[in-house]
Amino acid sequence: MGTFNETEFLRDYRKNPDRAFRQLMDGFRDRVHLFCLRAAPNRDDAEDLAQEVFIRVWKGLGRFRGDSSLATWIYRIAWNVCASYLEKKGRSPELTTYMEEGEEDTEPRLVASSVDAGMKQFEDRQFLEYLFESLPEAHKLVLTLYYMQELTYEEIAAVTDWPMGTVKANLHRAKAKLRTAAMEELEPAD
Amino acid sequence: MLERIDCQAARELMDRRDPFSGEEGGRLKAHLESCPACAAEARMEERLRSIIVPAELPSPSPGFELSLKARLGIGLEPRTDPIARWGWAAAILTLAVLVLPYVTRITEAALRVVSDLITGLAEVFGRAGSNAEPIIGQLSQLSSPENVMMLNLVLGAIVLLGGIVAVGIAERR
Ligand SMILES: [Zn+2]
Repeated sequence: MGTFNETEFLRDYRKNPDRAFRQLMDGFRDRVHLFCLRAAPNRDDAEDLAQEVFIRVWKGLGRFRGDSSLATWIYRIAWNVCASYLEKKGRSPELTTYMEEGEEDTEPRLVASSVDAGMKQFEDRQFLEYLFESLPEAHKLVLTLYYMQELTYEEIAAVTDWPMGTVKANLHRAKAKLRTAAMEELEPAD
Repeated sequence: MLERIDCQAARELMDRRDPFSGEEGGRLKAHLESCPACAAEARMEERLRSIIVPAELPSPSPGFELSLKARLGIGLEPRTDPIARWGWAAAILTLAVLVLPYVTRITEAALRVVSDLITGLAEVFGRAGSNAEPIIGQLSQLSSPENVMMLNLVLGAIVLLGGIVAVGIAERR
């Protein structure tokens, strides 16, 4: 990502759309695709979502005023596209209201002891992937934004439309769940 | 000698974007070397990161960009390179050559209809008693080969001019 030049891109968007498109793809294609995979683990669906994101990005660029960074603006569109997709799948409550849910509602899914005994035979990586996949989509999306290391907490708040405190609390909670479950399972206290 | 930090400070540093950068990163490293619990936590953090955002990001299928470009209409606009310019000119000229005979045949017929109509009317009015004979004579010549050729040339010039303007517009885009 590092080489993405926002000013150059916005200039090329009008004068040299081919080059601007190349820049957009080099800068964001795989990241937006990864983000969409968090909402739609099915590859075809994820690609459709990513296409939708880039179509909205491209068509909306004329209205981009630079109030936020381009990355924030793009992920905000991606977030909205994924949210509508999840809503259609009847999964929207986890994206919009899971903060209001009792902690207990989602906790048991991630407690290592609730995982099948067979799970223990999984390789570490597969086990962690399994834990991550069992998280609510909103957690997966926010953790992905966080670990991409592109956006600050403030920017993640702008993407999700959650207050900063909510972003931090959710990230912290999701990470804590993953770590606790994984450490209990993979690194038993010696 | 780096100032020692406690576990809570270490966890806070681990939460940063780039935990091992700068002087604080050095303190964190030093702490991790002496604290197995935080070291395990850091290892776990790294594993989580590598699973959630792998170093090698999964790319979409090979047709992804092509289909996106097609849907956005990028790369479909006429370019201003010489080949395209001459292509435009050739296409317009070909069209003119193909269309011109039809156009002129139609105009020739139209001229004849107009001249017949006016001649007919003039004859009717002429019988009413005026000396319109010279005018009728001129009007019956309206669809003469000379006139048709003249119109051919005028129409041809208009089509060519239109072609040149079209190429000009295409080039400017
Ligand atoms: Zn420690």
